[in-house]
Amino acid sequence: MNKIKDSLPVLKETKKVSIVKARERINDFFDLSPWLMMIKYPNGEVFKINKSCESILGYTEEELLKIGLSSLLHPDDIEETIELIDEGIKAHQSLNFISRYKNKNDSYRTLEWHSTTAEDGFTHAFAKDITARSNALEKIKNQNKEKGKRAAELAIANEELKFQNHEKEKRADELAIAMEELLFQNDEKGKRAAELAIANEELFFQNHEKEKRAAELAIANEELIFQNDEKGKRAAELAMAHQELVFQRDEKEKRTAELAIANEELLFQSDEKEKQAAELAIANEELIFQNYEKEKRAAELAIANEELLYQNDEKGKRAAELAIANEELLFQSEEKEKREAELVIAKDELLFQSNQKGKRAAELAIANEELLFQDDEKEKRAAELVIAKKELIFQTNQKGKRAAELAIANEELLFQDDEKEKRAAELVIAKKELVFQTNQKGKRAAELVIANEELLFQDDEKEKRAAELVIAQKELIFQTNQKGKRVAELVIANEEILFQTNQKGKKAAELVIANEEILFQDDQKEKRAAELVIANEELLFQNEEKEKRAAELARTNEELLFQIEEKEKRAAELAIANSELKYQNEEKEIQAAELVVIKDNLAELKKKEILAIKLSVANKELEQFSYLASHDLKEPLRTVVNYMKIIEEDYSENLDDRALKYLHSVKMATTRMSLLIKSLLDYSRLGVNKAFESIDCNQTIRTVMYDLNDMITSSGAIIEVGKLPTLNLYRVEVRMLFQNLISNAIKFQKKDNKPVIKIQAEELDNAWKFSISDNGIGIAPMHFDRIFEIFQCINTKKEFEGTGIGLANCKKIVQLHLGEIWIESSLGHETTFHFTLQNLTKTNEK
Amino acid sequence: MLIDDNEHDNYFHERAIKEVNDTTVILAKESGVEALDYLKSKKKEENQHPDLIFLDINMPGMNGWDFLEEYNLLDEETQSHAIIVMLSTSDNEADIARAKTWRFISDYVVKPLTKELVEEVVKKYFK
Repeated sequence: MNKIKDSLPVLKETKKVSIVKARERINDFFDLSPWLMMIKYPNGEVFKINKSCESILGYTEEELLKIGLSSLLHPDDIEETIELIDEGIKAHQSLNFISRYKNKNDSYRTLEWHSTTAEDGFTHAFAKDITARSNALEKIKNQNKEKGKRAAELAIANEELKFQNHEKEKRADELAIAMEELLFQNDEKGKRAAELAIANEELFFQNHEKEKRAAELAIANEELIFQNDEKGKRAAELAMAHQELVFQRDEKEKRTAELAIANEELLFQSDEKEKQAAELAIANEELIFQNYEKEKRAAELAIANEELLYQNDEKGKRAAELAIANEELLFQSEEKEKREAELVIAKDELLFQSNQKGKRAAELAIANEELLFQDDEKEKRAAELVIAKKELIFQTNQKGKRAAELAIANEELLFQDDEKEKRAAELVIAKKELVFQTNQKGKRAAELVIANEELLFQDDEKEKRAAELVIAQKELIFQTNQKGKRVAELVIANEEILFQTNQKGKKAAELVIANEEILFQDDQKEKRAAELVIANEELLFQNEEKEKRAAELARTNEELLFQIEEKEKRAAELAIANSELKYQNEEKEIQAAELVVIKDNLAELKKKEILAIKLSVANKELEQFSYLASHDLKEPLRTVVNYMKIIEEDYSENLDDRALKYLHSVKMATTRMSLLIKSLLDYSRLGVNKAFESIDCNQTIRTVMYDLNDMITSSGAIIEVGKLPTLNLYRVEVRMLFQNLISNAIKFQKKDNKPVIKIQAEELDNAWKFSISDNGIGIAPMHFDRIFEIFQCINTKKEFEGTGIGLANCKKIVQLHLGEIWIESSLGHETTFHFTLQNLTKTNEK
Repeated sequence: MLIDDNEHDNYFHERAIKEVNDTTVILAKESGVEALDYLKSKKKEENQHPDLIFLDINMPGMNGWDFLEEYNLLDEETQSHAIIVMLSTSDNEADIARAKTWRFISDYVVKPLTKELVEEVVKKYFK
């Protein structure tokens, strides 16, 4: 108030009234303002607060001045607010801030402050109560937060949905893949079936090839026969050689006299012969060496065959090999022919030589005519020597040719080596074919048997050939010996010739005689030339024979090799076939065992089926029998009953008490019989109606109790029923079951005892268990089984009336529902009948 | 008319009917054939037609069902609007149902036919 006064400019007194009024108005404005207005001293203490402090904060001005506004600050706002205020005061700044203050009711009001600090340090502030606004803002904030949470939850839910959809798609894809795999497996099954068909076709093809091999074996047999023929031919040739040898011996005796030139020529010829013999020896050695090498090669081939033991060969290979061998034989025969041609050429050359020798003889005659002119003869001899040299050259050429022939033979051997390599290549091809035909082993057993027989046969032939080889070798040796002998004989002849030439030298003067002798010797020369021709022919022939034998040796070696190969192949095949047979036998045994097991299972199943059918047939017959029996029994019974009734009606006056008693007994008996027959009929009819329906057992009990109402009321029975289920059952039969058991429970009581019966049900794994207990006379355990038999009563008729069929019916009905019935009881104590009923479905109804 | 091959049953049933009304004329035929012959012969004499026929099911030769088929073929005159009640030992539901399929079978009664049953039938169909 003072401040206001001081701040006002000095006015005239006349204006004091208006000033006072203005002041009052300003004070009213200050106090009545809805906003909180405050003036603070420079030190921060409150100078004045308007009346709104009461409405906003609940405190009066005096109270607020006492406690100070700062004391009402919200704990969270204290620090900040005080800081701001201090700064504002220091800096003389305007402040705008929001703080919360606790009002007298202990609730917080939010105030929006606007303050200015004047230069003199006083602070003027006013505050708006924005509690409502700030609360609303907070609410909105919270709502937004919750919206955000819900949006986040929705997003999460959406993601989960997406994820589930994704997984559904994955499962659909997996299903598609599984379907494809199934299709693929079906395809593969089809393929395997096709492959089996192909394998079957291949088996047929192999059968054909078997037959082909048999034909080829026949051809091989023919070849063997041919070889035997050739052996015969060789024998004939050997005989011829013998004859020729004899002839040679005769001619050797004729070689006694010769001329010097002829001697020189003979010496020369003998030299040549020696050389030829040496060459033959060398050729023989070479042949032996070649044979040895061939044996080596045979050994090498054998080794190579051993390496090939592990391969299975097929009949096609044998055919190919046989064909190849045939081709080779052909080729070799061609080569033989070539050699023969070459030998013919050599023969021709030798003939040419012999012709030339004849020419020499003519020249010798000319020389003899010109003996006077020895110089001329010498010159002629020189010329002859030149000619002889030419002949030498020619013979060296022939040697060269023979060397060439040997070279050709070598080439042929090389060629054979090449062919062996080809065979090796073919064997490689054969390996591939093996891989392709591994499935054909089953039939090789029979083939192997045949092959074994063939092996044995070929072994015999081998041995024969080996013997023949031995014989041929012996022949060769014999021939070489003979050649050696011939060489020795030739040497001896040469020595003799030398001796003769010496003698002729002594008799040089006797030229005429010598000429005559020369003439004579010329004749002899011619003869010798002829002999030489023959000897050459013989040599040629022997060479041919050698070559033939060499060829035979080669052929026999080849055959040996071939047989070795085949032996080893067959041995390998045998081994493989044996292992395969073992494997197949094992598989057959397994299959047989499986078949036996399957058979047993089938047999058991069949037995069970037959038993089931028999059972059902027997049951049907039994039902039919009891139906017919009871039905047919009814009629005469009815006749008896009716006549008894008539007698009673018409003649009861005429009968005495005893007769009436008899009649009564008969009546009782017939009634009982009628009841029994009806019970039997009912028993037989159980389960005839095959339709089960949904039965509420509680309702069934109510029906039964209604039907037994008289019995219940007259006995005063109390029946407590628990909660019973609703099941698929046979309506009539289940009603009968309950009726029987409940009526039994009421019936079998001590006299005047009030029956108390409890009925309960309990659920089991696949059935319901019902229990009906009573406080009756009880049942001794030894009767438990018998009681369910038809017509069995364990009490006398006097004590309790009954046909004895009720419990048999109950058992049959329970069995109809795939259940069991049993008793808990003892004599004189409570009895409980338990039975189980299954919920009937199409699969388990009888 | 009683159609039943069993003479004893006929005797009992006659007695029972007589006990209800002893003026009743009762004809007993022991086979369906005999019954049909009678009906055919009495075609023109309407007062000779039976008003009530008790028909047994189990008879040799022509049984109750066969008789009904033959009876069905007769013309209306011969049929004479008689009340036919089937009478049988069998209380088989199948037989009862089968009887109901014939429009001129009025009822089905299980033997023996007693006085009470006869009274019931008379009450039902003749009053």
